Amino acid sequence: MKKLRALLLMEFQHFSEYRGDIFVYTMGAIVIPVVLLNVWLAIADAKGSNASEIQYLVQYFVVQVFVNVIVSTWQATFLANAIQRGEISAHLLKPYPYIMVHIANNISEKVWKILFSLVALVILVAMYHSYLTIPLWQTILPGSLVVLLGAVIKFMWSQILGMSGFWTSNIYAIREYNQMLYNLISGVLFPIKYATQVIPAFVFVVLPYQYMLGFPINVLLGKVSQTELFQGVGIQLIWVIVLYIVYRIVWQKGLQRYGGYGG
Amino acid sequence: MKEILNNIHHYRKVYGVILKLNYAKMMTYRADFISSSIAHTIWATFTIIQMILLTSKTSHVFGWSRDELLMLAAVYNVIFSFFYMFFSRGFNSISNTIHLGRLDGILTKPINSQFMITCMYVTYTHLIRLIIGIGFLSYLLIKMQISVTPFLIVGFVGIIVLSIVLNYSFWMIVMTLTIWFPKLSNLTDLLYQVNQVTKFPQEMYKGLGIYLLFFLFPLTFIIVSPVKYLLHRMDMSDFVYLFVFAGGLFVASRYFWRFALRYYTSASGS
Repeated sequence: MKKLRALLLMEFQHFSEYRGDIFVYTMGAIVIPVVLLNVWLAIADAKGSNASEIQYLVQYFVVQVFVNVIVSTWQATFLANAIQRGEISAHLLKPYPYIMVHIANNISEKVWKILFSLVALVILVAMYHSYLTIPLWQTILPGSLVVLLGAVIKFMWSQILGMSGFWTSNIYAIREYNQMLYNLISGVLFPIKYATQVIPAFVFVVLPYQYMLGFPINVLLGKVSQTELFQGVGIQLIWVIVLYIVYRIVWQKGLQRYGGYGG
Repeated sequence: MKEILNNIHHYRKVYGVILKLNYAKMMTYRADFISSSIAHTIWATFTIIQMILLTSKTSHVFGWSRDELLMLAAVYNVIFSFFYMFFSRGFNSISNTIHLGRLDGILTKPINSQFMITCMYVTYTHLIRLIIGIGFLSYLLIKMQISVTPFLIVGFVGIIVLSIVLNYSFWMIVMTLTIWFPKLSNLTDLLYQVNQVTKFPQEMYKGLGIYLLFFLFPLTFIIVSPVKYLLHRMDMSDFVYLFVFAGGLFVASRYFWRFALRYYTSASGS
C-alpha cells in the first residue's frame, strides 16, 4: 500500500505538470456525448418521440460525460510502446508488480479529469436542468459500485490490449478495432436499449463493452430493475475474474518472449 | 508575375521531394503500412455504420432523407481522408517541433514556415479511406439517380477544396496556440473530436446555445455544403458562407502564425 501511495503521488505530480494536456483530453471526451445528444434529440423530434423518451436521452448523455471520464483508460498504447522500446525492464527489477505503475497512472489522471469534467457537467446541467430529475439518492450506491466495476473491466481490458505489444510491433490496428467496437457496443453512440434493436443481442453477451459504460449509466439513472442489477453486477464480477486470469496468463507468456531491448 | 510563377515552381519541386520521401518511408515500414491501412478501413466503415444505425428508426430528420444523411458520411470520408493524408501528421508534430525547439531549423530555411510545418508529412495509408468514401458515394449517387456530369464533378471538387481550406485554417489557428503553450501535445486529439461535428446537418445543433454554436458554425459547412451541391440544394448563401469562412480563416491563420512566431523562444521554448 505504501508503494502504491508513493507511485500515486509521483504520477499525480507528473500530471499536475501536464494538466493542460489532461484538460484538452477531457474536453475531447466531452465533445462526442454533447454532439450525439443533439443528434439524438433531432432524431427523437423527427420521430415524434414522447417527453419521457427525450428526458431519458438527455439524462443518458449528460451522465455519460461523467461516467465516460471515470472509466476511461489510455495505457494500451503506452504499454505497447514501453514493451517495444524495452522500457519495462527497469520496472521488472522493482519491488512491486508492473501493473501497479499503470494503476497509479490511471487513478492520478482520473483525479484531474474528474475535476475538469465537473466544469463541463455544470455547464450541461445549466443547459438541460429541466430534464435532469434523476433520483440519484436512490441510485448513487449501486451506481458507484457498477461504475467502479466498469472502470476495473475497462482497465484490465486495456492492459491486455497493451500487452499484445509482446507479439506485435504495432498495436494501432488492434487499438482502433477495439475503439470501434467500444463505440458501437458500449453505449457511447446510443443507449443500449436502442442498440439492441439493430445489433444482434449475442454481441452484447460475448463482449464486455456494455458493462464498461451503458450498464453503469442505466443503473445511475434508475432504469434497471433489482433483478437486472444483481444479474449485471454478477456478470461484471465474472468479467473482472476472467480478465484477471487472462491478464496473468498473457503477462507470463509475454515475459517469456520479452527481449528487453529497444526498438 | 514571373516571381509568382517561380515561387509555384519552387514549391512544386519541394513538395515533389516531400511526397517521394514519405513514400520511401512508407515502403521501409511495410508492417506499419498494413496496420494503419486496416485501422483506416475500420474508421471509414465505422463512419458509415454509425450513420446507418443512427438513422435506422427514422426516414427523415430536418428535411434530410436517410440516403442524404448517408451521403454526409460518404463525403465525410472523402474530405477527411484527404485532409488526414496530407495535413494531419504535420499538425500532430507541431507541438513537439515547438516544444523541442526544432522550429529553428524550419525558420532558417528559404521556404514558408507554415507550408513546411503543416505539409511535411504525407500519410498514404488514408488512400484506403478515400477509396471507400468515393465508392460509397458513387453507390449513393446511383441509388438516388443523380446524374453525374463533368460540371457536377468540377464543381464538387472546387467545393471540396474550399472545405479542406476551411478545416486546414481552423486547425492552423488552434495549433498556433502551441507557440505559447508548447506542452499541449494533444490539441490535435481535440480537433479530431471536434471534426465529428461536421458530419451532421447544421439544424441538429440548434439546442447547443448561441455561444457554442458561434464556434462550431463555420465547421458545419465543411461536409454539408458539398453534399448540398451534389443534391442540387446549395443556394448562393451556402456558397458565400463557405467561401467567406474558408478565405477569411485562411488569411487569419496566416496572420496569426506570423504574429505567434514573434513569441517563439527557440529550444524547449516553454
